[in-house]
Amino acid sequence: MHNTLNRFQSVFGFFTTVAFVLGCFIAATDLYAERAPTGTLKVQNLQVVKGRPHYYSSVQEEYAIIKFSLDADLSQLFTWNTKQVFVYVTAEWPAAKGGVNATNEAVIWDSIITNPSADHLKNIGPATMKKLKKSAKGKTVAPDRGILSLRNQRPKYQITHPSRKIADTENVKLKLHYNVQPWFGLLTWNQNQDIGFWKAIKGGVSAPFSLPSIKKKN
Amino acid sequence: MATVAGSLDTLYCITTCFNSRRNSTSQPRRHWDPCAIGPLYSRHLQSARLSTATMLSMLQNPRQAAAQVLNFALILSSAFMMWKGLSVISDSPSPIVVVLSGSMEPAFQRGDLLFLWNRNLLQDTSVGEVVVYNVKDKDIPIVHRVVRKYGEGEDAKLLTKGDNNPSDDTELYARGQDYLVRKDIIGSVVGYIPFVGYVTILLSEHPWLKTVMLGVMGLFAILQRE
Repeated sequence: MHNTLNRFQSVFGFFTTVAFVLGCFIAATDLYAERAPTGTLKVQNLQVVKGRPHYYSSVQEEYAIIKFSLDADLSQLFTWNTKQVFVYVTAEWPAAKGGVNATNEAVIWDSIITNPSADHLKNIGPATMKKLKKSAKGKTVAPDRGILSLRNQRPKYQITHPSRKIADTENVKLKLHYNVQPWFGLLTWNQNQDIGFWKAIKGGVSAPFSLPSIKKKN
Repeated sequence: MATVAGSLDTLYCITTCFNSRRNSTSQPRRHWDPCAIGPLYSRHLQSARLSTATMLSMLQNPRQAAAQVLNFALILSSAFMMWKGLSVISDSPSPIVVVLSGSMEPAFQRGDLLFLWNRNLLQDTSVGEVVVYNVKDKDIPIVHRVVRKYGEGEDAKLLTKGDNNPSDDTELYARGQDYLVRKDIIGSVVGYIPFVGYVTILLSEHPWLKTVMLGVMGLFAILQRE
């Protein structure tokens, strides 16, 4: 018994070592895959409304609804080690009027884009799942999913500020971000400068704008 | 809620990996040298047959027994040192965590291993980072993404949300707490290995497995002949 178990342990130990080293090699190939994402963000429609954080709350808050359009090419982020790309658009603005540093940041829209190899893990209904799987039949890597074209997109999240006031905020910018989540290895985000084969996003920031005053009820 | 488990369970995992790897490298020649197989095999057969006898003889050989016990202690303590070393380097009380639930799916599933980093060398913890945080008075660490940040530095107000959840985490926070601050966070996720953490999930859900495993490991350490 001592022998068999000992051998099994050795084989298992060897297996884990090999699997780990192989995984590291696969993760390292990411560094050699070129990334040159581009994006154009435009604000389409701005609105600030009053509302409550949830149904049973008596607190009134101001919410900014920022409609935008986005054209982005993130196709190079999809490689064989990509499980999903998490794309998100943030709005950022300085704390004080006339401030320079954008110290407030909030996600207004996001999307999980899976590689076909991870489609089955997505939390969607059966019909949508069927459609999604069909869209990349026979492929394990689908760079075309990284090409986004949104027109007059409603934000997923209506943003506010802890002070509950957000109307008339100046110098707001929208910014495109992504997070590549691998099958094995390091998580990577969009970077501010070029690193090796990975370039910073070209564009990806909207022109600064100001939020309007609260819409008056007629 | 994507909860995670850390610390000791992962320690068990490391211990086992370390132990098995150590065995695979410590006696490579015996396994790979074809000339040695014949005689060695028969000798091993013999020792298997006589294993109870050897155990008894070991009791009579305290020097060897002490060496085996020390050997076992060495394995355990080096695993513990690795864990604590990693903890110091990453400045996180629990640098490797296991995902227990699915609110970050499809990226992180149950049983996946996450590596955390808790130092702000280049920049503040910012929006988009996936962080593990502890809520006041609750003992379950949660891994979610930061979606809002107001202010700068230690006092910045952070709001988190699971990628797979429809709404943000305000309801998970303590009563009266609307935002997290930096010190609630015990690390940002930087690395990912799938499936490996399932071992620790099994161990924590079936506690008797721990006893069995420690027992088997102890038996190995004692019976092993160097």
